[in-house]
Amino acid sequence: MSAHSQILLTSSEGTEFIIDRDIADKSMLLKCMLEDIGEIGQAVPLPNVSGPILTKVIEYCTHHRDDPNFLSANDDVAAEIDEWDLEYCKVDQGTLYELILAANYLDIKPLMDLTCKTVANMIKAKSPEEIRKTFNITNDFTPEEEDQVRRENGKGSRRLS
Amino acid sequence: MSITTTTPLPPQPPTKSKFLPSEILYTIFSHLSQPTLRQSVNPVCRQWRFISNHLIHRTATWVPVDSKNKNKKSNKNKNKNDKEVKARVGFHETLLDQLSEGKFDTFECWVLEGSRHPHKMLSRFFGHPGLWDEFVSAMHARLAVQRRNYENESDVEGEGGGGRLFESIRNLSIYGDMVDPMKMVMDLKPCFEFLETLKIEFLRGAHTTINIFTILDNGPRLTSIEIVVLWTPLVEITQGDTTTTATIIIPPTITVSNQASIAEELTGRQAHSSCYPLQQLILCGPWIDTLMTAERIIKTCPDLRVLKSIQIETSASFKNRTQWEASVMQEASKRLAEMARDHCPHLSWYQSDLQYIYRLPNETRLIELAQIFPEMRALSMMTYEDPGPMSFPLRSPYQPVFKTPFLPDLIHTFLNRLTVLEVSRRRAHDTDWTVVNRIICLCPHLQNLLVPDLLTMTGHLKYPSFQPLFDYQVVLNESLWLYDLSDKDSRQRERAERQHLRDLVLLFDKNDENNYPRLDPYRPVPRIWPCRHSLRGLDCCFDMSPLEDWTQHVRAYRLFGQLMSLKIKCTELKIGQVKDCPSATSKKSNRKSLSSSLSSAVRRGRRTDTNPRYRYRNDLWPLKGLVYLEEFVVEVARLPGTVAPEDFEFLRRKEPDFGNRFFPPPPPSLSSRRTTATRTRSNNGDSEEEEDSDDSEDENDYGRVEAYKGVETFWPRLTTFHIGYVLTHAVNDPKLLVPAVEQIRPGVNFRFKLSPNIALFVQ
Repeated sequence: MSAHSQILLTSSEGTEFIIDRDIADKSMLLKCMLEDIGEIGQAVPLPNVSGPILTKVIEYCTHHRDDPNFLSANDDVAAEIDEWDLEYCKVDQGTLYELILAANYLDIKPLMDLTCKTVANMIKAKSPEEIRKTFNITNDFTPEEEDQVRRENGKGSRRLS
Repeated sequence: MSITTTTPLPPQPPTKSKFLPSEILYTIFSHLSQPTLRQSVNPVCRQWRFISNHLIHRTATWVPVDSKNKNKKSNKNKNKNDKEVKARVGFHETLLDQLSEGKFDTFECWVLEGSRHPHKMLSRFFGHPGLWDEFVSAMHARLAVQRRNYENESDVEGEGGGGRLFESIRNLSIYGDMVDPMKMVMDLKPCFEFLETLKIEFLRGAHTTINIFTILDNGPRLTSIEIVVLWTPLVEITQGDTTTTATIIIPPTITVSNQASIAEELTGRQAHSSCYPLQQLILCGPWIDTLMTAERIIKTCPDLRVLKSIQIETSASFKNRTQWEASVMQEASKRLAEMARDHCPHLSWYQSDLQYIYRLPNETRLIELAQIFPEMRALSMMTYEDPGPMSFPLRSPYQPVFKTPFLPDLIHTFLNRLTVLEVSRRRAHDTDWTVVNRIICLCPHLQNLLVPDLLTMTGHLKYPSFQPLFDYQVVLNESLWLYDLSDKDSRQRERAERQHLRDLVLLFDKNDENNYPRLDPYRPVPRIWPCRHSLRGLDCCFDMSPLEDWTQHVRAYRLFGQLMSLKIKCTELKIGQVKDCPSATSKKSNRKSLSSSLSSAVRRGRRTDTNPRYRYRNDLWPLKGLVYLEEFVVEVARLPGTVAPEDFEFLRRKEPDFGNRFFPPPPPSLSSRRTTATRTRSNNGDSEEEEDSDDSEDENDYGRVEAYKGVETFWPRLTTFHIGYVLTHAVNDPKLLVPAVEQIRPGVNFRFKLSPNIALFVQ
C-alpha cells in the first residue's frame, strides 16, 4: 500500500475531504480501520465530526505529519505546549469542546492531550464561582452539601496522634 | 496541499457551550494539581465533585508522637498496664474516627519498633516495641464492632459488623524501623486487596526476604510498589510462595561463549499465567535474588511504565554464591533490558543494576541504555567512586570517556534528549560530583533533576572541570581538543564541540579568585549547568551546608529562573522565626503555644519583632527571583525556634487588585527559546564574538520575567507550600499555624506536618 495514497472522509453534513494516507494514520481509529478493511475506494463516514471541526483536525494532523515523536510527544509530563499548538487552541469554547470530542472519537491522543490541557489551563487559578461563570455551570449543591464540601476541602491532610 | 474540499462549507452558527462527558472531564482534571482539584474543581457542582473525588488524595498521617507522654500525664495514678491499654485505645480511637469516615484514601504511618534507634530523639519520641502489632490489630478491626466496644468500655471484640479499616485505604505508606519485612507482608496480606499504591520504607531490619509475588497476588489493584531499604543491605526480593527460586543461576564456570544459551534461557522460559496491572516498581536498596525473579516481574507486568533500581544479587558475599564473570553479567543485564523493552511497551523509565556490573564504567551502561531504549527521556543512575586525578596524579585526568570533551555520538544524542535525570547514591560510596555535574552539563534539555539522596553543597552546583595540579595546567582547558586539526572534518567537529561546550557552561571567572582559588585542588572550576535556566523541577538535599548558602548562591548566579517545583531536604529551616522557645515544662506555654514566646520575650523587655538578634534570618528570601515557582516542599530534620503566623508575612500578596486570581502567563516554552538562541547564533556566525553574545544572553535569562516586572508578591504563582519536620518544639502546633497562614496567603495549600522522613537522620 503506498504511503502517498489518499483517503476520502465525509463529515456529518456530508462535506467530503480528501487527505493523504499518512495524515489519516495519525488517527488510530482511521488507521486501524484502513488496516483491517483496506482501502475500499469509498468515502469513510465520520458522523460524529462536523465539517469545520474536521478541517481543524486535519490542519493539526497536517502540521504534525512529519513529527517523529507524534505519539509520544505528550507523554512527557513536563513537556511544554509549543507555540503553534498554543495558537491552534485559540478558539471559542464550543469549538474547543467539539475538538476534544472529535479527538476522542478519532483517537488522536496528542490532540486529545493538547485540548484537555488547554481546558485545564482555563480552570487553573480560578475560584469555583469563576469556573461556573466560565463554563456556564449551575451550582446544584444544597447549602448543607456546600458546607460539607468546604469542610472536606479545608484541609488536605490530617494528623492522627 | 493535502486537503481538498469538494463542497463549499456552509456558514456555521456560533457553537453553544455544552457539557463534556464525564470520562473527558476526568481526563481534563487529571492535568490539574491537587490544590486546584480541591479548592477550585471539587466545589463547582455535583458532577465535577463526583469526578474529581476520584483524583483527589486525602492523606492521614499517623505518627505515634508523645503518646506515651500523654498517657503519663493523664494516668499518673494508674499502674503501667493501664497506661499501655489506654495507649492502644487512643490509637484505635483516632484511626476509627478519622479513617472510618472514608474521607482519607492515603495513609502514612511510622512504625518504629527499635528501642535503640540510631537517633536518640527519634527513639525517645516516636518508637516503642509493639507498635507494629498495635497497628495491625487496628487495621483489621471491624468498624461497627470497635465503636460499640468503646461505647461499652469493653475490650472484647465481637464478631461480624461493618467493614474493616483498611478497606477505605487506597494508598499506604509505612515508614518502619526494626520491623520484619516478611512479617509485615504476611500481616498486611488482606489489606493489599484494596490498595492501589504501596510504599514501604525500612530504616533497619533483619536479614530477610520480601515475597514480591505474595504482594502482587493479593493486590489485584496495585499499580505502584515502592520498597526502600536505607540501612539494611540484606533484604532480598524473592518470588514468594508460588514458584521455587534460584533455578536460573548462571553456573560460575560459564564463559562468554555461552551467552547465547543464557539469553535463550532468559527469554525462552514458559509464559507466566498471571498478569498484574503494576505500572511502577521501584526497589531502592533491596536486591532481587535471581535473574529469574526479575524476568518474571517483567513478563507478568506488561503495563510497567517505571522499573527502577532493579538490583540483582550476583556476588559471592551473599548466600555463599560464586562470583560470576563480569562480562557474562553484562550480557545478562543487556538481555534483561531488552526483555523489558519487548514485554513492557509503555516503559518510559528503566534502570537496572547487576551487582558487580556497576563497577563497569558508567558510559558503557549508558551506551547500552541508549541502544536498547532510544526514545527514553528519563534516566536514573548511581554515582560511583571516581577519585579523579588527585588520587592518581600520574594518570591522565582526561582518560575516561566522561572526562574528555568528546563523547560517543550515541551518548551525546541520548543525554541531549533527556528531560528527567535522577541520581542516587550508592550506599557506602562517596558521591563524586564531578562526574554527576559533567553528566548534567551534557543534558541541555533537562527539565527535572532529582537528587534527593545526595548531600549537596553549594559548591557542587558548578561545572566540574578537573582541577589542575599545577598552575600551568589551567591551560589544559583550552588544549583539550584531541582531534587532528589538519583534517577538515575534525576541524568542523572540533568547532561544533567547542560551540556545544560553550553553550553548556560558563567560563571561569578569574577575577573571583577569593571564592575560587585556582590552585585549590578541591575547588571545581565554576562552570554551571546548562539547565540552570530551563529547569522546571528540582529535588535535592542539603545537609553539609546551611540552606542559606545555597539560596544566596542561587540568587548570586541567577539560577533556576524557570523553576516551577522545588523540593528540598535540609537540616534546619529558618524563615525569620523567633529563636527563643518557651519552657517545655510550662503549662501556660502549652496552652498558649504560639504567642507565648513572643509575649515572654516582650515581658523581658526585648523587641523580638524587629530585632535581628532574637530572630533567625529568612533563608527563603534570596529565592524571591523564582517567580514561576508553584510548588515548594521542604523537609527538615529540625524546625528551630517558635514559628508564628507573622513569620509568613513575606508570602502575603502585595498586589491586592489581583487577589487570588493572580496568575500571569506561563514561562516561554523551551522550543521557542531554543529557536531564538539558534537564530541568534546563526546571525553571529562562528566568530569569537559569539562568546560574548552568549554570555550576555545568560545574564538576561534570569530577567525573562517581563510579566512580573513590578510585581512584589513573593512567588506569585505559588499553589503549594509544605513544611515537613522531624523534630520541633511543641509550641509549633500545625493546627493553629495552618489556618492562620492560610489567612495571610489565601489560595495556597499550606501544610505543616511531622515528616516521616527517616532518611533525614540517616544522612
